[in-house]
Amino acid sequence: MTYSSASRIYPKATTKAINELSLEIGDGEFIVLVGPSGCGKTTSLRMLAGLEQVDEGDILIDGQSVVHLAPRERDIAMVLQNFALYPHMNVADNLGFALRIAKLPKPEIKARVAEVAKILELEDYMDRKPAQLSGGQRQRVAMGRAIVRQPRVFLMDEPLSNLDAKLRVATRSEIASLQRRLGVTTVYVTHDQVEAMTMGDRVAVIKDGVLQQVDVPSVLYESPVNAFVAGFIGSPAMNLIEGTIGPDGVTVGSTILPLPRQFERAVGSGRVTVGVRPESVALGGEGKGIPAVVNLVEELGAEAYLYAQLEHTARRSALAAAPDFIVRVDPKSAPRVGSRIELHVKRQSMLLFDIESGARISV
Amino acid sequence: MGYAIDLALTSFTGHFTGAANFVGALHNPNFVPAVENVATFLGIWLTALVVFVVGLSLILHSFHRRVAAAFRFVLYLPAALAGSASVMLWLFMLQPGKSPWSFVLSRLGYHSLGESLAPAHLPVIFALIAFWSGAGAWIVVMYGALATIPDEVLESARLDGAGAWRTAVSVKLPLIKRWVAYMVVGAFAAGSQLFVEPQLVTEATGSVVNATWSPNQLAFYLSFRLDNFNYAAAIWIDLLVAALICAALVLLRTRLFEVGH
Repeated sequence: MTYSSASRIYPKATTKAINELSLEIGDGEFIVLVGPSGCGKTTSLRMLAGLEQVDEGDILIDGQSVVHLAPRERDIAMVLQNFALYPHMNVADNLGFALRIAKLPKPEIKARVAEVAKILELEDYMDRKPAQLSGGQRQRVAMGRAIVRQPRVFLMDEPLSNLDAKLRVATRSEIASLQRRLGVTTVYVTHDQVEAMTMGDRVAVIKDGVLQQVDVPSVLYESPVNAFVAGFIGSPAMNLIEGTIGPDGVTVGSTILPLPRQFERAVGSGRVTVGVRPESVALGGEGKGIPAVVNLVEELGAEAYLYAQLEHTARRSALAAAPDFIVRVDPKSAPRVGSRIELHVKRQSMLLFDIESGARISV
Repeated sequence: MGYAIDLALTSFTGHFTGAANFVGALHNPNFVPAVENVATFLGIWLTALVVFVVGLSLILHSFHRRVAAAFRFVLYLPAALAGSASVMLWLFMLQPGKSPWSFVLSRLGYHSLGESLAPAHLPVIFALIAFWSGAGAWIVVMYGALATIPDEVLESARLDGAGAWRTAVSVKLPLIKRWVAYMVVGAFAAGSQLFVEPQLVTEATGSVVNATWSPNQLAFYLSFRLDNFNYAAAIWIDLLVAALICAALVLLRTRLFEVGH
């Protein structure tokens, strides 16, 4: 599938909901569209489904433009956020509805519905109406409705958002496993970057209707193209702090941090945004670290996260709370709340971003 | 209602008579024809109501919101007229020589009001009047019921390949079934008590139409022409029981009040 500079402008809107989106999705790929609420990821999905018109550009499936085709002519199946099951039909009828519309022979409908019910463990619930099902069961029926159609493409619009946290984690892996088994091209929308990183072959990050970056999860994590992607991908998020490039390195507060080796001769001077992952900071090391005070220690069992207030940002913004600097620590040796620490940033893990545009500075 | 029951079970002097008033009303030579007239009227009216009100509502629901709102307003306007005013208007429309549709009435062979209002035509004419004045309000109710269907369910049907017709029949109609049942119950109760329209036609046409055309007219005649309130009360109780039986059948069949259904 290909989005070719596709745009969507809502009537009377001054900005585009989707702004010239260009994205190629390979056959059998599981791609995740991720971004904050209102960024346009659902709109992108709906444009592909035919539920939103494409005002500019094109969308192609198997090389054929589909922008003028009705949803039923695109051979796609979609799982909606609230499942959208037919409340007056039982599970069997919900699963078979699309097949009856397609006028498939009754024996084939029966066989397909039975097969999908078996895959999704719905056999015991076939006579129940949606109101008599749990959230997880409804979600499986919604998935089953898509699978039974054997479409070219699956579209999923935040299908896990209405499930509780434990069920969400369990279902996440089931969906990924099912997609691998069926091999159907899947476009999955979520605002949860953990879902995106764990499920997708590739992840496309969208902000304000504009595609920021699309790549495999590891590249997004290690080489974000801008500060937004850097701050959005990763849990906890990357620390982004202001610094000033100088002859000796980058100055953060009163601390001078040595620049990564590749920047030593290449980058000029001026203010930058410094990006540091929580796992790239140590509490001890050579030289002077960035002074901070521990606000909170979050113990998660195998690891802990320390939330610290950098001293120079605390002085500057006494009235407004500055964002905490997050550090991953060993829970056995985590400092206490209120204690003063020094943060040593691993030199080669530091990323630099243009302070105006947010674009990553690279050489 | 209690007083009507009391009157239906007692005589003019207040003595308990059991079912005698009901038997007497039943044997009144005008009772069975009146029931037949209203039954015919109800058959035409309820069918037209369900088919056209539900059909028009489904059509309006597929229009753009503002267009649908404009049409709903236009269709609702006749309901703003009092029932008696609607009858007057229709009497004018059915008057050959004066009606703007005179050419149609002439083609049909009607050259006088009496011919237009022949007994065989009355169920249809009263159904037309009732539909014209009542359908708009029911369309507003049905449209409101359709508006409660989540957009996602309708989008789901689109994605599944359902066109407008299939969505209407397989998704929308089943989901507003309760409201259609509610409309049938309400319309049956109102229609079985038909009085204003035939009474006005009787008065306006100098008894061209029988003064006991409907059971309610018969009860009125018995009460205020013959001073027989007991027989009249029996007829009214009969109408009440008929409406309750219809309501019960419809409610049980459609499980109208079942929660979560």
